[in-house]
Amino acid sequence: MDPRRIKDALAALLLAGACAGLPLWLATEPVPDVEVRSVPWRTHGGRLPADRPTGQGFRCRWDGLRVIDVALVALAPPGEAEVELTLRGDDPGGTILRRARARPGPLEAPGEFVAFSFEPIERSAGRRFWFELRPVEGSAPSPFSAWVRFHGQPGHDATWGHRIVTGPVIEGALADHARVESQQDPGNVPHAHLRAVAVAADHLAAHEGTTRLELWPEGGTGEPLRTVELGAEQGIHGGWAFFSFPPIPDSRWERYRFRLTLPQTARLVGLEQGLSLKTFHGLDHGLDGAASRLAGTSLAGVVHADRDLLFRAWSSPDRAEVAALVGERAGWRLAAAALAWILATFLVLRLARTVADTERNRRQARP
Amino acid sequence: MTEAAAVSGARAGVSRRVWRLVMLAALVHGLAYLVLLPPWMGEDEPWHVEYAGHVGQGHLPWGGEEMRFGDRELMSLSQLQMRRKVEGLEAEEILRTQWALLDSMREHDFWARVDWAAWPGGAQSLDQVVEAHTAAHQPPLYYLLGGALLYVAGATDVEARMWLLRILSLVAYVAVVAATFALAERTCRDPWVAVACALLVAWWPMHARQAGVANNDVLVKVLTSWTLLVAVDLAREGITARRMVKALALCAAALATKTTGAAALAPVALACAWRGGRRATGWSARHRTLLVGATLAVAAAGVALWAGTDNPAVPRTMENVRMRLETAASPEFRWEFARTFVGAFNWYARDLPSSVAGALGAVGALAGLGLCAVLVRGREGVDRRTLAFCIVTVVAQAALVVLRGVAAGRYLMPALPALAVLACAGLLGPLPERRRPLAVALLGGGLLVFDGLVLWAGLVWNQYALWGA
Repeated sequence: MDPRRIKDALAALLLAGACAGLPLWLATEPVPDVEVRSVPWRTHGGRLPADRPTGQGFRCRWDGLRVIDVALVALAPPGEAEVELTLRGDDPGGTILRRARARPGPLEAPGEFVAFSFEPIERSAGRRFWFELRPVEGSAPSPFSAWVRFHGQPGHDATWGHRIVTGPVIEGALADHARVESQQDPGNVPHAHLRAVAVAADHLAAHEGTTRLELWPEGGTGEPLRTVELGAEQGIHGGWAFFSFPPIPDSRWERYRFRLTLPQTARLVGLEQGLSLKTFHGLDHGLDGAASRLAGTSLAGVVHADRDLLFRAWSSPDRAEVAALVGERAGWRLAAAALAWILATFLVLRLARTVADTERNRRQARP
Repeated sequence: MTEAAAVSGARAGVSRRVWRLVMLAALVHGLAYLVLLPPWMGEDEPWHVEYAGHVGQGHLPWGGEEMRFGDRELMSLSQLQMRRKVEGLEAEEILRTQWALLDSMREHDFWARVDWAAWPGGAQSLDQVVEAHTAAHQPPLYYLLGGALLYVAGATDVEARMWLLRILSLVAYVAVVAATFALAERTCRDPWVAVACALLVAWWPMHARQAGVANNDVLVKVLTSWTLLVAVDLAREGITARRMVKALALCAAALATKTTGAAALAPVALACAWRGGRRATGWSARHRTLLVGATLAVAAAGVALWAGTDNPAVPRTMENVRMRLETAASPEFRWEFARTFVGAFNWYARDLPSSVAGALGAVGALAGLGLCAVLVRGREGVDRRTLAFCIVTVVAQAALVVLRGVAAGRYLMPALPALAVLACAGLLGPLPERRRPLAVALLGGGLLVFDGLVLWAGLVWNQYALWGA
């Protein structure tokens, strides 16, 4: 074989290795153990109460769990307010493993990830954890609220309002279909599998009285199609209250009316058009293992598996473990692409050599 | 002299072997991107595959069923748009295709990779991925071509359709590199410059990534780049009926592919008016006016075609134009455009560190200064006439992006060959010939590093390491 070709091949290998290896070594983002990535951030649960901690469960992939970042937003001037994270094993009632505090300070709208660091947990791989958040001082709710991702596609998607709407009974149509039909609100598509209604609440404490949502088909009477009562653990201060129910498979373009029965103290939020509502559509089953690493949120220890906090957990994988994850997901593609990339580099080197030779010959041929 | 002979003559300065190596290197490089980009990770791929798939099943991309009031209760907007565009398409077929697409997207972890995609469970229409989005308003040529390919291959599975269309994209990518090489040869006699231009286009990561994305952007860039080449030949070699027919046919094809193809008309119109060619002097002003008129007629036909299919790229009112211009003037637009041209991943949900765009901007500024020097003072062996055509193409393409009001770097890709020629002329042109090999080596090295950064630390990392739960 032509020794120049061998030289080129070795040079290509080195060059391609350096051009791929250096960025991989120096310019890659760290990989979180688990992360809920969901933009835009649509709903938050309201100011973190002192007496009903807000929690989230998850299963770790790697050993060395050391930091949990939670997406928070400041709903009141934060001052020096601190938030405490309690990390437990297994479930909301599990053994306390770590505590960590953070003073988020003034967060940029619409909020930021706030890091809670603690002594690494050596054997965290494959193990389930549960963390809970609560304000550090006093019994008043924290100025901070945690962002929540509900498991569903958004349908009707009202923004937070500027009017207070009070009960004890609020009734209305779930979505304004006339606006949708006439293209005034083209994005507001009522999908199938209606599974939750989120209501903007300035103050809604379910332990203060019955908090119930009933749904009927438009024009329907008699027994409601779905009835949901919020549990006593739900105390919402400036957040979205989720009324979650078994999905209605044929909800696409169906018209529903709702009735909310609320405690006397409840103050919901609305716009000129009415109550600020969001609907969610979808199913939980039929998904891959990624979703199953999340165990849902908890409120005062009561688990709600149909939603998650926006958070990310960091453990301490070594490079080989991250490489194994990438290899597992990319499979043969990674090897094939690497080969193609090295070959392309080799061809570029051959090209440079060929042009150089051609030019040299041309110059030599000149009189 | 025939056109083939002219092309072969122009290539005489560089050996055929060099050309083959450039093409082979580009092909293999494009293959790396094609293989690594996971299914459905090209922007808008599900919609393009849906449309081409229906055409591949024997339906024509026109003559569908008009939408009636109340239809939205039957199907979602994207489904109705498909029924409206494609002839003889039953609701059942539309629904089945979208379900198959969603199943495949679920299987390939679309929702884990795309941060804004809400929730996979129970989604029944593509509107639950992006509301009211569709490819049905796009002009039909890409889907006729892609549909024919799918028909011949007998592809019935949505994923197989996607891969076949991606192979078409790989061919398109190589064809653009070929056009760049030919254009660069017409710009500069120095083979190092031609090689640098071709490598810049082939190794520009977001262009290489298009070798693995099934959408109509890949076809429009082929048509625009080859139109530019023919326009340059019209100016260099003179206007002949054959070249003119070829140029207008390429323009018409570009307009029938995507609105971003309209920029192809600019160099052709310039070529019609150009008086510098050897044979061109024989054409009277009247004939030239007629040729410009023919170009405008092709443009008008294109605009009528788009307007007739409610293409959202066509502004309907002056107010709409004003709003788009205001949008394009904003810093957010410029940043979005820059990041999606330089390197963005997972449906543009994630990007490279902003310092990368800054560094490339500095190189671009250097190239701009060098280009000014070349244009003002001239350099031996550099054809300023071809550079003028490249400038016109880039300006026209950028104007379309501004008028569209949507900041996506891929909309500038049809002008990438022209941009590469300008950049290389700016960076290498001012140097004495003996210094150019070293400069090309530096440029090539920089491209390899940039490509490595985008492919391995960007694309691979974002597609395979950073997943949302």
